[in-house]
Amino acid sequence: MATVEEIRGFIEETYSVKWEEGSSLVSINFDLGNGRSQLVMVGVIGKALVAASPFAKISDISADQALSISNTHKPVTLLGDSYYGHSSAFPLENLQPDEVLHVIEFITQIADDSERELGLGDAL
Amino acid sequence: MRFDHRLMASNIGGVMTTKSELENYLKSEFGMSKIEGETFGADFDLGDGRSQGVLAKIVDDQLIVASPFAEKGQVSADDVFEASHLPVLMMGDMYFAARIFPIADLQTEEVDYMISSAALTADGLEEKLGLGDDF
Repeated sequence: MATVEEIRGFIEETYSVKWEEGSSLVSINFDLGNGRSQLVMVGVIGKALVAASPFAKISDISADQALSISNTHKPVTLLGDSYYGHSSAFPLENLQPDEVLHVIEFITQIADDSERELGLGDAL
Repeated sequence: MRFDHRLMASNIGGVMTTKSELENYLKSEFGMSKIEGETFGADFDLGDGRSQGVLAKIVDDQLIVASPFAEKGQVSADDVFEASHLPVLMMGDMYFAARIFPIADLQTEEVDYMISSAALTADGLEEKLGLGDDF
């Protein structure tokens, strides 16, 4: 797997989503079971696959609280100007289908875990 | 060890299927030594008189690569997020630029990417935050 088109096609087929014209990211809302869901944004930016999932609005927690989550080895990313989340980016070159799934589902799961750890309910 | 991220693209990829293969790669390709448990580390010469320490830590089924850029007393968490939209974490009283990736199917060039991007991000943040080249 190497091209943007192949990556997009694989994600669209796997998760039944459709990229909007001109958009670099697509949103997927995962049903994680037990009444919980989690939003993740996936896309190809430059030559990298990017997956990002928010766990808190910056208005809801402090930067220190957001970083406290990283003590369990989960790097935290400021997503845009409004959310703290987890993210990962990897070069498309040689990216394997299993790795695409691993990255998307891993980022999704740890963001939901962080939301829960911080006692923020399931807003995202 | 001289660290030249421009050379990374020429590496020929190989899948590492076990933790020991990953450990051997960290040691042989990056001169990393074991610090404790499944944590490895090395200092890299980035050129232009700058250097950067990098840790590679195997936790459960994930590889975490982290490179320090500040101590907690030097900058606030708000300062960190103002300076970076890339992944960061705290370990102890230190801020790190970090990358995390599941070990399953991890390929050598992906490890290269994690190490080079974490090191270069951390070094850039040191500069951006006006902290010199302490790490």
